[in-house]
Amino acid sequence: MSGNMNLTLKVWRQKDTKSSGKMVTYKAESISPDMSFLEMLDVVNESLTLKGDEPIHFDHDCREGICGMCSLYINGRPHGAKSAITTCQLHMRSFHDGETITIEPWRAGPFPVIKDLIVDRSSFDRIQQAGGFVSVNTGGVPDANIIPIPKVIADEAFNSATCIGCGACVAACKKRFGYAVCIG
Amino acid sequence: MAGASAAASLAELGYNVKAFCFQDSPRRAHSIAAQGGINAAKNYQNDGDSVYRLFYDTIKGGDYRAREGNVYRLAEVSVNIIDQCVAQGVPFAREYGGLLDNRSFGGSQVSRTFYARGQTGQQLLLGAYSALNRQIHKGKVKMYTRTEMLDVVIVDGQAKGIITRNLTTGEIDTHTGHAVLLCTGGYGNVFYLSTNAIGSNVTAAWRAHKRGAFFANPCYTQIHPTCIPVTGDHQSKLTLMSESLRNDGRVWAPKTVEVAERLRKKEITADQVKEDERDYFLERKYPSFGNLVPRDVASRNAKEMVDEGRGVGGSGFAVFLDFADAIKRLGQEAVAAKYGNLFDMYYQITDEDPYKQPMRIYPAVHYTMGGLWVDYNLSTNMPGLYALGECNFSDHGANRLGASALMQGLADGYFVIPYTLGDYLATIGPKPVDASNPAFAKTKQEVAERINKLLALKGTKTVNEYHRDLGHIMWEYCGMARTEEGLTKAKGLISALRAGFWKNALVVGTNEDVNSSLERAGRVADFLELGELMVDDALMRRESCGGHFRLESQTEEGEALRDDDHFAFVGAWEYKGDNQPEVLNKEDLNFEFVHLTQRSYK
Repeated sequence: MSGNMNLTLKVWRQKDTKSSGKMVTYKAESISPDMSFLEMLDVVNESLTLKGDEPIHFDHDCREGICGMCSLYINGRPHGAKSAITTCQLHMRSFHDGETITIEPWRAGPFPVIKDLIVDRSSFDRIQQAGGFVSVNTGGVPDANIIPIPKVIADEAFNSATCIGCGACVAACKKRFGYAVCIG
Repeated sequence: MAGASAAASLAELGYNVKAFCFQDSPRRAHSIAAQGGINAAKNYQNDGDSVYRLFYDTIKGGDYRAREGNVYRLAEVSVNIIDQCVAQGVPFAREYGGLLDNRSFGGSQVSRTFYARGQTGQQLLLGAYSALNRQIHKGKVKMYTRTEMLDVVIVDGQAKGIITRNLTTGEIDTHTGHAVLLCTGGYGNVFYLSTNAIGSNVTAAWRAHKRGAFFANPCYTQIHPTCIPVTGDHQSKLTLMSESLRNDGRVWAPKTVEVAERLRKKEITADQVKEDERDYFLERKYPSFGNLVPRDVASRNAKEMVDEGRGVGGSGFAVFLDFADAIKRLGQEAVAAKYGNLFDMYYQITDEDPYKQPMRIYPAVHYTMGGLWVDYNLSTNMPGLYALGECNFSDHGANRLGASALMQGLADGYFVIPYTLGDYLATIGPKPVDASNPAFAKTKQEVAERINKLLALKGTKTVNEYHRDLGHIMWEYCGMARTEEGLTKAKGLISALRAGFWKNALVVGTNEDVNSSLERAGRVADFLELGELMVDDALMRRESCGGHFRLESQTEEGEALRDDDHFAFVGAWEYKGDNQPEVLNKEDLNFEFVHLTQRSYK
């Protein structure tokens, strides 16, 4: 395919939480601009695997920007340079042939590295389990339309509920993170 | 979502629950990706909806291959789900007056779908996650994340626990329990490319099947009509564009091959195609339901356009979903308010602006109606082993209607299992499970041996390549159109591919830390077995129904032609040992309330 790119990747590799890690350089060759960033890593991982090397480990699941599983610090920005999208939605057409891309895990005290680019974000769950939940039992609730909620208020509530819990805010600002400020 | 709602509701009743998920948090289950909405027979719009009508639409939409009792109960509790979710604070869309808003989904002529913009799944899952967190806080639920279930332990024919692998450390653990609930989703990833999350897999259900649980209707697969088309071999997944878009989007293909060809070569753009050169084929063929025909019907028609050479896009494997009329009628702002995040998502992936050019869409694997066989209580044939949500087969027949997956997942978790589980527990009494029973050590040993066997694979072909090959076979021969000849061929191909996998696959790494290569290998190995059973099931079912379309069995108009005399049954397959043919058990479907007819949406 025409327009394919060759890239250099500098990737953080770390065996586990206890080991120390380092940046390792890889070539990503013949990358289509239609690939997502994670599909580009898939291609690199296939070639690593064929050489008998361990693939680069990273978190990912839905690959459509909603599960919040994918992360990655790309060229110094969480989820890359584009705003309000996740790494799985970042496409390679945002990069150019010959570019060097630096890929690191989220770096923050509450998110220890598990392996390579995978970090432990269970601190987010613990915050909610400490009391950030709604106390309603299943069953025995009134009809859904019994309390009208004005559309403007409902819309505002929705805006606050769109956080996907990816942790980009923590990675970007290590001191004052919060769900309310979405930098990713 | 079925799992979180079940764990929370059971804990509220006083049970001690252990919950497991392979993701780093239960909030990431793939239910989160559901976009369009959740059905409920609230009749808030006063448009003639009722429990009976939702029941009838679901039975008909499933092409008369679901069990009436289960579906009626589903329609009944649908209204409770909405009440429950609103009480939890789920921010459903509202009218200016403050009351809940609804829209329409395929296969129904009323507005009964509740929604939260294009991310209803996330909002409902966060509700269930919140309920779950409350019980974790209270100590009634112990949550295990990054943990994968690799087997179920059967003692004297009853499920008494599971074997798990810690995905961070590789540790294999045994967990005992008085009952085991599988809420592990569907198996669409057997096709490699699907709208499922990359991690979605059949392993827990398949392991249970190999321990004796029947697998029902495995060939019933939903191919969703409106997904973003494939761009190349590198593609790892397909992205759905919500069915809700068909409320305002009009599906069309060029009337002639010539125009289609000019579009494919980019000599003209879609907006330059004149009105009389367009074929709004769903509106033309199905005037009553128009663009809102059920998914199987819409998908087959899109495929027909492509087969006739009228497909568009670079590959020719696409038709248009056009919003120009809606934008003209409602204004771009109103369209953005309804579907903004979907339009953004489309733009991110394709680099094309859907406000200016119609979306290009093509069918993709989305949901699996088949699954573990369960009775009315959601119990499999193995006492103590239950299956909830997409993991079971029970409610959608041969085709699921849009906005019914969230409904079923939450119905099972919030309102069915809390009532039915107690019945079984009463029969076994309150004595503790004996973890020293040799079945536990034996099952654990078998799991460890299988992991070692996978790690010993040092061939030349990656697991991903095997998975992609399997996907090609399944899509080609067990996808939107199936034939005796093709399926027979697929059976041989899958069997050979599986043999090749166990000889020549390449798995790297160890079992001491995170190993994505090993995780993937275990899941693909199970898909390679399931794929063959799906083909067996599709071969056995010599009729067309819903998403299962046998070319040999169609009406003169090309619609799915059922054979109720011979196939009005659930096909529940029983595992009999490696490389042994599975045995078919039939559960007859008796329709007391719905009259079986040729499904029509004209």
